[in-house]
Amino acid sequence: MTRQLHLNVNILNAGVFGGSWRHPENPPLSSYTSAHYLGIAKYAERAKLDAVFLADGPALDRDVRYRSGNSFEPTVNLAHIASVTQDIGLIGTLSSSYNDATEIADRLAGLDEISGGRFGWNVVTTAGATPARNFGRENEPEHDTRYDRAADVVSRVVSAWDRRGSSPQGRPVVVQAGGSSAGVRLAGRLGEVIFSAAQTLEEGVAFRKQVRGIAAEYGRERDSVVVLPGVSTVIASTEKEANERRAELSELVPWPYATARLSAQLGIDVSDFDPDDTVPVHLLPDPDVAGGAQTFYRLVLGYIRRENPTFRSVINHLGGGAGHRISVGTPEQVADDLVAWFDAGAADGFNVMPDVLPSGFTEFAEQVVPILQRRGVFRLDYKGSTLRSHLGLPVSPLPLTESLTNSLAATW
Amino acid sequence: MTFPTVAHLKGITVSHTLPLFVNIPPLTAADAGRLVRAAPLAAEAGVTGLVLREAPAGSKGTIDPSVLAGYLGTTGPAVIVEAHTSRHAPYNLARRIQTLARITGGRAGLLLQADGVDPLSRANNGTLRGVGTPDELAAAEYVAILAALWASFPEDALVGDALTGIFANTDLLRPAGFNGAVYRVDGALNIPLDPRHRAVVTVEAEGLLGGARRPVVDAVLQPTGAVSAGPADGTTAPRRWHRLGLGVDLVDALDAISRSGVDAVVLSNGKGTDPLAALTSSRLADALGAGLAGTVGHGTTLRETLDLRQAVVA
Repeated sequence: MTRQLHLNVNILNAGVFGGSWRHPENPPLSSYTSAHYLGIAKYAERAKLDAVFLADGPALDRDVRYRSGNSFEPTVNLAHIASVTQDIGLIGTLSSSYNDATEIADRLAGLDEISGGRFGWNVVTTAGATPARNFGRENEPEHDTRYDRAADVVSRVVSAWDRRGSSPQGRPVVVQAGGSSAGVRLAGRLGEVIFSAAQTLEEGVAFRKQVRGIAAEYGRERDSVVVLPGVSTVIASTEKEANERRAELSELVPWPYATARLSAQLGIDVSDFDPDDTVPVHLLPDPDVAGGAQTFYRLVLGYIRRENPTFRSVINHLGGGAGHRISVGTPEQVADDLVAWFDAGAADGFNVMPDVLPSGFTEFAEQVVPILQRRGVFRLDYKGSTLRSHLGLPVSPLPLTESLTNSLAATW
Repeated sequence: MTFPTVAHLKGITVSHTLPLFVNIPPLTAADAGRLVRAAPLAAEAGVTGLVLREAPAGSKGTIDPSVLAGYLGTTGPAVIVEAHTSRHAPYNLARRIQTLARITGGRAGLLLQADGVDPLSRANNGTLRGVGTPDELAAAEYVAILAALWASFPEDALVGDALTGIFANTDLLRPAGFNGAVYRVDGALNIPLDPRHRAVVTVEAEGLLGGARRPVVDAVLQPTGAVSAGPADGTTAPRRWHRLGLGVDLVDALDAISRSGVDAVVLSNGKGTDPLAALTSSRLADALGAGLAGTVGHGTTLRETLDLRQAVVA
């Protein structure tokens, strides 16, 4: 059989862009209702997607004045989704920095079992002082320390799952999303699904090769790692309409939000500059010495180095979005784009981040998925009802960290 | 037999019967599936709520009660989730319970077991912080943090004005800003909630209510047979919920209990039996059928059903 690609829908609240919630196709507060998540999940299941994906962080996003944010706690929300679906995978983001390994192992295992083996844990280390201060800390732990702890927490959790031994899929799936050097190491070592962020096809090919190589260094099969780049989709019936839609979404991004976000991403106060000034590349630090979330800093930095843009054009380029690649076009064009990445070895599938929700996903499911199916690269029906079966991932031993009795997972 | 009327029931003005909860011990996935099938029938028969118990640390194979409650969704009675302070950092627990409160439209609660400080809070707050702090103080801080977090993002702050580009009125946010002897929790929650939908907080450790720093709770789940409780905040006594075993004549027992001044009943089955025995018991059906206990009507919040004040903020 032809190699099959994998598709998740990332239900990133109202949509991937800063102004998605303002788009007239959907009610502005939709993503603060549970019906929003249940509806998209049911739709995704009808379209035979691998999984729904929920991003999360244990803090109120400071940008909430200007944009919708993640809200519902993912394990409760996914349990709710599990009750109205039968087959689709359920991937939830939970912080390895701000959860206790013993507690989370039990809770996630229970979610996996109650859903019939459909759960995947997206491990994030959670950057920033705001979440840290919700857990008694003054500031975020140092970057590499967060990743050391992540490896220990994942190891303890996976060990606990193996001891429990009651997962209908053998073991819940470990998903990982860090783009920093330490993040890629963690992904290659312990990640089974990698949610990545690559802007160009070349970057995508290189990243997938790198992470599969690290997996092999740890004695894992290269094919035991499924790499799913994030892709934001803007779809319309003609290319012109798609470009207009993309421009409309840029216009909808509240400007104070866009500048604040770019300031945070670059580590300089963008409001000190004229929007039409060229971004001063020499002021931007190297990613590995920059604090905060590195994945998107790298993406933005890469764009700035390539294009030498003004602040305004950076903001329009990002669209106030999560910084993932944006695929704009007709359903055929978007499908072409996805298949090109898949065929070139830049992706095993995609974490699809629709421009607006739920309508942008409806468009993807109704228009793009059937094209992928006709081309023979996406399933017409589920062959099983666990996340592992959708992903074609057998349970393989993971190279866990050692010295678990005296690890950061227990002590920080 | 004399059926109780509203005059016999302290504090109950909404319902004409004694609200009845059913205790659900920690469940495996298989039993959780049975519960999901039984829950709508229980709600229809008049069961007010389910008290979903958390397994002791180290036990295997059961479902976390907040996850189970999410799985039950809105299909059954209200849900009260048991959680131990020794396992859950307050911010994480507050989020899960607030999520349930929002998903269920105010038909969620928490049975908090104050049994020490969770590993994350212990580690992050520094090794010296909170050492030697009495459990009562830690519990009072924990409850105060929950109340502050649950009130931190009022529903009114959710604006969604597409025209002006203002999504939330951040002037209305009230970050917890809690800096106690044991816990420090800074922020607001990211889950807005109408205060009428606020989760109901119950405890069963009456000893915690005696100290100067007692937690402010909505209800106290009492040991079987006991009926006394001190006031929680100096002005209003918490509701008293009576725990009742399955191995008694329920109709007689409920009749007696309804005269003793308690405000609700929690029905439990004995150890070693089917975990859903209390819920599926014909005795429960008899009691509900006799009109002695249960909830009339649907669509109301748990606070309304129990006639509790809207907001309990320490």
